[in-house]
Amino acid sequence: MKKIALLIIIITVAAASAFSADSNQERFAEGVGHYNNGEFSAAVEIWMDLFNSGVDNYELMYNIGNAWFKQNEIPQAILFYERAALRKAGDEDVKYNLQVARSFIKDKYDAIPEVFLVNWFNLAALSISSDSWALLSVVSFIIMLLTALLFLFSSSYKTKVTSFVFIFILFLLSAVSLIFSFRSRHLVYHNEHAIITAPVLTGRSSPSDSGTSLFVIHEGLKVKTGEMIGGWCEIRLPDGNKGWVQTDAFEKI
Amino acid sequence: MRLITVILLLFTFKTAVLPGQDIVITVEVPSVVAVGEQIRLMYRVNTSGGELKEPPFEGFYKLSGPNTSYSMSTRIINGKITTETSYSYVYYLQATREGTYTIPPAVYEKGRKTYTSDEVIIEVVRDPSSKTPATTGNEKRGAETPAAGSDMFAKVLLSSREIYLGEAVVATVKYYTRVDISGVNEIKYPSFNGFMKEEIETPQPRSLVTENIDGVNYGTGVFQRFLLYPQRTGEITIDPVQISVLIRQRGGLSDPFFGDFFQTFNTVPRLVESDRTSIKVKPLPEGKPASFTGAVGTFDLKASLDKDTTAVNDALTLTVTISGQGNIKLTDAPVISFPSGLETYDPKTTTKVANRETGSSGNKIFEYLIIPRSAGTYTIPKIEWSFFNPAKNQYQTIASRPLSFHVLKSEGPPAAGPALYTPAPGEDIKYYGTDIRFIKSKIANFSKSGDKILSNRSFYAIYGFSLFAFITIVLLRRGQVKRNADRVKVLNRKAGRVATKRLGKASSYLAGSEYDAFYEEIMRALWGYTSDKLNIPLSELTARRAEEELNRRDTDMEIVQMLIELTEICEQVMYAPVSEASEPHAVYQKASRLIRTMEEKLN
Repeated sequence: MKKIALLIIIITVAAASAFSADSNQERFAEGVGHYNNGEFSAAVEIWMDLFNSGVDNYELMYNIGNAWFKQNEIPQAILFYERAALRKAGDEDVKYNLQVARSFIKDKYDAIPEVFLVNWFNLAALSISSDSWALLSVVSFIIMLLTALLFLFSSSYKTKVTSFVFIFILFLLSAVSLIFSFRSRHLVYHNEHAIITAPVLTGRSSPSDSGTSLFVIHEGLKVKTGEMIGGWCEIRLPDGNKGWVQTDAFEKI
Repeated sequence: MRLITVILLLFTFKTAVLPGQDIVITVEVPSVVAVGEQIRLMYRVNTSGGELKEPPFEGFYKLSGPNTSYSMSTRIINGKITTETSYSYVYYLQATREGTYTIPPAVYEKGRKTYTSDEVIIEVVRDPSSKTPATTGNEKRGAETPAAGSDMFAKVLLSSREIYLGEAVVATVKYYTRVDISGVNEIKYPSFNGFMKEEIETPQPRSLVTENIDGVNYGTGVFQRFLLYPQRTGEITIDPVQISVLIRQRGGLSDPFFGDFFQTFNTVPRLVESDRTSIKVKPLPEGKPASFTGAVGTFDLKASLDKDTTAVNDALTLTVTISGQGNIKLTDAPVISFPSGLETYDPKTTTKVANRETGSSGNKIFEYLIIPRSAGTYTIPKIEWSFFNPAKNQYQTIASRPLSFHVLKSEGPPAAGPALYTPAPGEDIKYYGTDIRFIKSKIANFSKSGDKILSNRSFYAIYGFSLFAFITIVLLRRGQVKRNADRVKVLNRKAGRVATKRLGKASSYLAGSEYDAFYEEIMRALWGYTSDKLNIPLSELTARRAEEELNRRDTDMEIVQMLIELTEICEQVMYAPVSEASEPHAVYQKASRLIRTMEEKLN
């Protein structure tokens, strides 16, 4: 009896999710139609609904970015392009549009170049999704165990040597892809970077209005967030300077 | 006033110092005059040799002056001689407008000393005999009061009081007179600030045209006509025109004998000034078309190419003609979007405009030189051009038809030489604008965030489970191996006993002289023992295999040789006729000894 109940539940859940996927597809297409007719605000409304309901596709975010851009909401556009870029690191359109949107930012700065190893690491981690990395890790781990069995029970010397090499490689692969999986999840879902949404923002030396004004930045700038105290957050500018700003002045990627 | 008192005091002081030498400047002028009346202003100085600086005659027009005259009179009264010198400066002025005017003191300089006259205040009143003439005819709008009395006045007549920016207005400078004019001294036309001024050719009047204004006939003449194009919006004031004319006046009485024929005439200068007038300039209405470049009026547009077919690098000319009436001089060339592949230059502009009373009319020709750089058929899209039509109060857009032409491939470089031929360089792709790329129209599959594999505990369980399975498999396999090893040991242990049993059975066969069975039993004992002891299955056991196995275990060659020798003997006896050489007892002895030694050596 229990098994049958479980089966029924599984089937209903699967059917419901399939149905919602269908309706999502429809709503997405509806947004595309609005966009094509130049009704950007209507398109944004529909797509933002989808986004808020938890749909996690780079195409959707890219489209939202485009629709914001067309309404001249540059910071929102940059925010969504950045989100899309994290989910699909290699997409040329996303890259290009992000570049176009960034050219509208008022602030010009000399960015501190990131250590190239970190850059590579991040790029590699983002090249496929966190889930794919996790799957790769598990599969390579299981293959490694099977190879280990071959190593243990084989009496042939040649087989033993080959399988040992394979065990080593597979272990490394499994470990590295697990690390990448974690990194990718961190970058995509717990990113420390944020886009400034306030038109003009003053960075202060302490988390209060009485703090000395350190710098003035404008909307659209990408900053790194740090410690949060009260309604204040410490941010790090691309040129390395730090200051405190209100938490409602930016939106995390 | 105080200053004057001081000056007067100074004079009295000087008089005291230099008696008989005091210099006095007196002024003679009527205190009340009428507008347009000619007045005589005279400064009289009772000395000579100095210089009079005339004051500015504000509110008056200087007809002539200064005319100087000198007089000296000497009187002898009771032997006392008094000499009076008088130097007079006479100015003829004409009052132009009503009001009270002050002529500041004139300054007389003699030597290093300066003397000043009194200030003069003159009140100008309206000529009591003049009436405001009501204008007639189609120039009613330019209603102005005559400036110089009723017998003569001038006007600046405007064809319209309210116009659009860029629309033309005709200003006519006209005079009205009832007296004889012998000539014109000078005409000061207004500066027409805020307008672009075009003169209309006006023939000088030969004879006056009679016009009746308010029941009075005036002779009228037009001095000049102007076309004015306002350059800014709002109320623009046009300064009055000032005309200095010479009027013939009858001098003296008419001759009783010869009548008017010998009448003498005096020519008197006189100023005629019009009133200030103003015009309202309206801005152009909203909703300017994109192709509007500031033209106001009515226009027509024509475009043509000088040839339909040309060769690469062979120039052709596009002529755009804008003709019509309006501010044609101020219009700009229409914007033409030439197809790519054509090299174009700024147009050559020719303007032909005739100014008439109805406005400027003419045409403006724009000639575009086009050099095609690659072969093909090109189409110049229709040329759109807009203007504002003030009569219809709306913008109008006119367009030419699209023009096409063929460009043939040039047949190699021209023979004339390389001077004109420039090899067409590879053309870069032309980028016109930047925009974001288009949206993605499809999503392959909808994934939801939050159900990431990493966040799922069962993901880590997979690692644990597979590792557990691995260990289990290894352990199970180990146990099996161990059990196998145990079976070998048992066999090993039992091997000696089994062999002894078989040897015993063989000895009983020997006693019963059953030799075949005896050898068979010996063979079995030996093979069985070797198989069990060396862990070689019976099916695989050969002499060679046994030898390998024994060698691996490092046993004596002797045992190996003995085993081989014994098995050979047994096989010979079993499969060949009875051999004399074999001694069953010796074989038995040898076999039992071999098993004993192996038992010792292999444990």
